[in-house]
Amino acid sequence: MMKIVLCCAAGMSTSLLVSKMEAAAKAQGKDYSITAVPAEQVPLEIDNTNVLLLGPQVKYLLKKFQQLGKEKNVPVDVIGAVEYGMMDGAKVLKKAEKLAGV
Amino acid sequence: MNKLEEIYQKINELSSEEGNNGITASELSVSLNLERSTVSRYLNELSKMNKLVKAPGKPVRYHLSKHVNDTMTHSVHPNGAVAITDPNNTQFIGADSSMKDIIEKGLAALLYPNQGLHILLSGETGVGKSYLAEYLASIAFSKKWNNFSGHFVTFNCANYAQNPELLMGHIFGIKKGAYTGAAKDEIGLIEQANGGILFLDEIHRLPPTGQEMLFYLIDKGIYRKLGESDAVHHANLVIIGATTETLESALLPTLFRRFSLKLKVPPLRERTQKERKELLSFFLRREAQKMNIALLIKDSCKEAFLTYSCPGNIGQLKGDIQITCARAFMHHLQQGTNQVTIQEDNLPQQVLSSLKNELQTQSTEQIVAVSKQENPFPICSIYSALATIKGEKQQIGHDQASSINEMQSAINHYLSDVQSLSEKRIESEPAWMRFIEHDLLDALRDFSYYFKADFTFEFGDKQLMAIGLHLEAYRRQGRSSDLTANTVPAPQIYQLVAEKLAEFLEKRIQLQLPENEINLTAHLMASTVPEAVHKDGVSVYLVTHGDSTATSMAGVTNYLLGSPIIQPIDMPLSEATGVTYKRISTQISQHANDAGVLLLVDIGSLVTIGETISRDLGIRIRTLANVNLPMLIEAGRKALIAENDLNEVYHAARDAYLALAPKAQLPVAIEQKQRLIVTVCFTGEGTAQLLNDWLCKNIDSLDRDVAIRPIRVDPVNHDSSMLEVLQKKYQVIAIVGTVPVHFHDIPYIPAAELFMDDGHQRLKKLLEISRTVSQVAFNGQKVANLGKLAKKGLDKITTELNTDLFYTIMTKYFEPIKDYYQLDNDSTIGLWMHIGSLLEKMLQSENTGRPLVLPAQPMERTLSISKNDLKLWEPLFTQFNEKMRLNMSVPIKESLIYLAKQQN
Repeated sequence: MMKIVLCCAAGMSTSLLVSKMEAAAKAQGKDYSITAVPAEQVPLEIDNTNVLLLGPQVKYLLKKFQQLGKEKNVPVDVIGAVEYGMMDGAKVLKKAEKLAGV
Repeated sequence: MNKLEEIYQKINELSSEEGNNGITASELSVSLNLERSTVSRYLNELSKMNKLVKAPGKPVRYHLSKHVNDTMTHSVHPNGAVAITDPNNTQFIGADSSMKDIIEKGLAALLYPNQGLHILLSGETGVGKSYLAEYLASIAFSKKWNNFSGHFVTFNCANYAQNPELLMGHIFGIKKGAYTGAAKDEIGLIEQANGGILFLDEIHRLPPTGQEMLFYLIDKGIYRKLGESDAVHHANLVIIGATTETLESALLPTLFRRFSLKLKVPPLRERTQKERKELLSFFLRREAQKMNIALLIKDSCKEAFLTYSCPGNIGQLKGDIQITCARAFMHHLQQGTNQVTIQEDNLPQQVLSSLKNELQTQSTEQIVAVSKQENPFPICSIYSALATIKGEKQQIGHDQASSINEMQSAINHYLSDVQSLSEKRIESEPAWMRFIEHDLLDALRDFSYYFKADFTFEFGDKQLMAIGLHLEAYRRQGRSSDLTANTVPAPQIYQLVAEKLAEFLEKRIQLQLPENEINLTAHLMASTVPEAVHKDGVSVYLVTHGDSTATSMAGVTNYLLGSPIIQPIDMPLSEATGVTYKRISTQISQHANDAGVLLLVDIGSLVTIGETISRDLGIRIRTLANVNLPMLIEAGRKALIAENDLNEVYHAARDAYLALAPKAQLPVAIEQKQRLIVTVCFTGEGTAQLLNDWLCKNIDSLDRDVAIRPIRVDPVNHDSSMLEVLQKKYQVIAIVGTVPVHFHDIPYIPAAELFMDDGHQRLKKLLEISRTVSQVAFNGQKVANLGKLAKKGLDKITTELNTDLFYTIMTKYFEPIKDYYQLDNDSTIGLWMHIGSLLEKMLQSENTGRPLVLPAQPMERTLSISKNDLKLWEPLFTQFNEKMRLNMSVPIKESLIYLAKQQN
């Protein structure tokens, strides 16, 4: 099962986005595990993660996490401001799938 | 002895001969052997100086004024300039406040050593440009050390705008033989104003050649009369030009630059309230003088005059006051009161409408002070005319009704005079008029005025502009459209009027229309008649709880669709269900037809009400509950097409509802078609092309992707196969034009509507709702837009947070933070979402009593938080505390500041 991890400061807003993404996945009949974590926890989660997405407010961590992702073979990217602002679960889900090559 | 004195003396002689019957301009021109127009100009000047009195009626007869001395010496300035003795000029309202700067600059220009500088005045209709020019001139002339030796001559270039030759002849003079009928040399205004000031009102109406000549005169001090090739004349004068147009576009650049001083006269709404008060009492006083009887005004009326929106500025204010006074005076005559009182029912509608209801009842009357020292106004006014009518009738013993009629007609006559004088063009010219040359526009207006009786159908501004645009395009192309095959005549009533119009246009502006153009014009008249109310399709009713919910939802939908297709029924919460049921069933039974009824409702008992009504009335009714705007729009669109039956409309609306459910969250699979606006007219080349150009210029940058296509619509069968083709390739947003086109469910916007003030709102809305999200996002650079985006997202994910309040606070208090850290769009959105989510969680924890778990302090901090940071954020935190009762703890504050600082 694909595991998508979202991270942001304190996992505050991404945790709310998770529910939107789950709903979108369900509507499409897809069974993914989607979680949100504070940025600090990413190193602990990365091992069993398929794709890592960053909230725009922590994009300053992108370089660091991309490096980490390279080591662990996990694609990493920042969620677009529009999708994030609109809490567009479907679009973010699509982005995650594209990154993971699904 | 100058011309003015010569004429005055002649009048003196003549009036004693003829037993004081008064003298007309023609009589005088014969006995003086002068051009009639010249004579009447002098007569006007004399009456302005109060030397003569104009008697009403045609032709105007002039009497010697009894209030003036017989000699001219008092009013002729020692150095020959005519001092303007108009008593109004003794004060200029606003001269010490909002007009101060303008007047000082103007005077400085006029009194500039040697010759004075040329001035260009700009400002809306009726702001008092002519008055200002006159005032400046009179002050300048009154200064002992001025350099003027000539007169102040004023002329409105719009007077001869239909005939440029005549206009230029009038200004520059005409040489004998310049054209057939130019039997002798004629003096132009330039010569008359030599050594003085020439005021040219509406100077932009001067044709380019005239502007060139004026430029040459200003530059070199020489000019030629019309028809002269070798001789040149010298003139030394100051030109004051005035225009209502935007300065740069109004004049040729060469001429424009020759005006050393450009002054903008402010509109009434920018003048102070005190000045408006002064203007009001000034005009009232003047009317009171004319009436020669005590004039009173009710407080409420005074208030109305001070507050109503007066787009025609001072000119309109003056006109409205005159109209009001005339009505009040008539009332006084009828009632036989011993003073004139201005009351609410004397006010013109636009003035009255600003009146607040509560003021009307408890209003006291206030007397308009007329200072005793002032001489009664020495012109024969409407008041004496009215009084005369009244007096005559009573003597002969006429019944009162006929005398009232006669007085009413005298007033009407007076009103039209007032209007034509004081408001040259009262309405600020809407954009479409720019497409139509003034001569054509004036001709069309005059036509619609003179031939009012011939229109058995509506002929308003919309029709006027449709025909104007068409004829302008025809004139520019210089040829007729190739539509000879389609000359099916329009219905007789239109054909007749179109022929009359063609005849009129040929006489007036030498525009010859071939048969098929006349025919097309008739079709235009016919097709711009308001469409008959849509009858046979499905009726759609919207019934919702609340005082006005249904009305406003239906309003939005009908507005977007351009047709009153949705019928709203509001159901106030206080109303019993039985009452509502009765209202709904009555309304449906009155309007329903065989096509059936779609009932869109919100919740509760309304969901089943349709079934009951259907049983009771035997009308087919289907009901959809949980109504929302997309459903409503969809239902309206489908119902507009008469062929769609009830089931089709029902399913379309239901699908719109379903589309909002999970499906709406799926990515849009279909490739978006390019958006398209179609412009239409009978030729596809004329109006459609003009509209095309206009749209290209005026479309919002967010809608750059929109394509615009001018197409032709057959005048007879309204064939629209081209639309069929276009719709396959494009997403057609709207059809704009002068020919109503009904094509599927695409809204039609008449060109006239588009060009009216705020008329493009509907098109704007249609464009707005058809934008894709990425279009909104790519261009949404402003915080407000980003904020709106974030608010939308927060609306979806939050339950406790008041996102409206949050949005308001953030827009104001986050802005400085964003600027300080120079946050880009990504960071801004991210922080909005972060803060929003944080507040939501704080609220949730408050409600549930479960403490908010924040992660332990994050990784090593490389940046420190300074006092400045805290100071910057404090207002935002205070807002959250005061408005949302959320107390931000120190760690939370620090984590937010830290997050923002890390962004870059």
